[in-house]
Amino acid sequence: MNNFIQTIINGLLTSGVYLIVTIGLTLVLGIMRIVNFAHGEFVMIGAYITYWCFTLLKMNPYLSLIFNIIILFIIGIIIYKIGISKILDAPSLDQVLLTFGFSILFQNLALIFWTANAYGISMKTEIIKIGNIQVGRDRVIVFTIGFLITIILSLILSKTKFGKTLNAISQNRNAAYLVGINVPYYYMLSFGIASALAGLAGGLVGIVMYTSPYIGVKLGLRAFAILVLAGLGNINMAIIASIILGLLESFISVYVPQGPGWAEGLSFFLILIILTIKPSGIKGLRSE
Amino acid sequence: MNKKLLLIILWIIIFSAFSILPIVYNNPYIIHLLTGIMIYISLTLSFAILARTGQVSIGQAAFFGIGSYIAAIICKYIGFYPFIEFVLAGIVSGLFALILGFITLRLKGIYFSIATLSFAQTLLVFANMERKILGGATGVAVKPLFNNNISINYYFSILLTIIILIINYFIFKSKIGYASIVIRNDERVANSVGINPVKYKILAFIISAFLTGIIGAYYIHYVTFIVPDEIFSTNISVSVLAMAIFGGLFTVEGPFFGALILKIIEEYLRLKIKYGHLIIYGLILILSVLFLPEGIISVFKKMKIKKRS
Repeated sequence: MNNFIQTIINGLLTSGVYLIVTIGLTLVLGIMRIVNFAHGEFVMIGAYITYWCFTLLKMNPYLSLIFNIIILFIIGIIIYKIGISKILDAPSLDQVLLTFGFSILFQNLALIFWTANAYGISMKTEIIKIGNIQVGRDRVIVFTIGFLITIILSLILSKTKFGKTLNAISQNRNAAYLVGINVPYYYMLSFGIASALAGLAGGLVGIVMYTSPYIGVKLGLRAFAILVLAGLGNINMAIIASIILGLLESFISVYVPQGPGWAEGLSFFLILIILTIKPSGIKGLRSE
Repeated sequence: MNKKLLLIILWIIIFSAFSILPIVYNNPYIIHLLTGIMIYISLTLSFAILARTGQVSIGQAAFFGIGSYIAAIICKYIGFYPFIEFVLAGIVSGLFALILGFITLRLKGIYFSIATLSFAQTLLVFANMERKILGGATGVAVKPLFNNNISINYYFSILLTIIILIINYFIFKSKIGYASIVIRNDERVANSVGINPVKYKILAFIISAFLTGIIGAYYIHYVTFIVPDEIFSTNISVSVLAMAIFGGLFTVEGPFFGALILKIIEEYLRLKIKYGHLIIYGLILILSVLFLPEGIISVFKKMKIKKRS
């Protein structure tokens, strides 16, 4: 029984990380109709920033999240300016190729600078014990940040004028132009925000997981699975989808022989299954 | 007619040059590298058949791997029958493409890319975890072709490339080729002029997977050992993609020269830097999309037109 509850808690805590990785991707897709294959690599850069801030500057990892957000926002704006803004009206083929190109570029830059080794932050983690169940304090903090940020973002999108503007652009770009919305400016801003969210996610990943050039691919593909499961571009459903993925992975890891290995492939398998039976996801936009 | 003849002569010169190279440089490293280049040219040409319909697969490694495993399994459990292995490898890869094609039919562009990527990754995890038949992460040993003679292997890879090149020309000039252009530009237009996009997309997918599977079967006999992480590697899918785009996807010559040039650059970088030599593919993809959407081949074509005028 204890094992069962521990598995559920572990799955839930992991889902917090997956969620924060996914929402930036969801934001860009929902507003700009672009799937950013390089999103996972932004997360990876964030993880490295936190790692280096901790190792070289002895900075509190949670404090370094501020740097993550600022640096990744700037990187996002640059990528938007030199790349994404040029292919907004191009066929989806070009969007895949360009963002995928950035993904490979960043991944290999990380390999060149920091080799293929994985680094972890060696920080003393307090363990919270409730009965026989153990939970790392940092994982709880990361989980909470992940869900809080998502809820705040969801509220901003539905309640504020800024959010409504983005919604208008998402629904009909040309109509938004006609009512005087500066669409390119908001595109740039939302891409920057999405990248900043990836940076934040990366910092959290660096704290509770590890840092390696391949972590971007690993998490990016899980984010795709959540995205597809949730119905593309739907932030509220992404919460449920990330919990489903987190729990499933956790249960497979524990209860299936050689579980951790199989759990690694779950997200890809899920993508295939969902695209086969219900491309629109749990609920949401009909896939184009 | 004249132009066609010129093209044939050009190809004969190119392949003659490739055939003479191992005689001039009788160096195992060079021959090994040239064989690798031929394998990548074949893979890129096979990939291009599918990509011309506007569907970008980021999972070509899946079919390469399926072909490899079919050959390895037949070789291990039934016996050494290279010809049957090659044919079966192609057929099984084609069947997988048929199934995946039906699944992804309703999906456009980006979702097709995600689906193919996931497909390759799913197979990778499966191959790594399945220990009884596929040998898990440690893989399966395979018998070599031609007594492991690297020169004969190289000439065989040239032969394979020539066959796939000819198939490419036929398809390019066939109804599939013309249908691909229309489908890529607008599926509704395709429908209205009597082209069934579904039929041609799946057909292109199957042919592409069939050829890729055969190359996989050949490759595994060349390296004589199967390693799941290597044959299902995203690196294969990525490099094939970059090579085709860089060369110029919408010609037959483009993917050939794209693969040739990029493989040489990659090899150079591999010797120079320890990690991350694949950076070239990322750079090439970005630069190609932004500045050279029709590939390097379009530069030559423009130069030709300028000369004439």
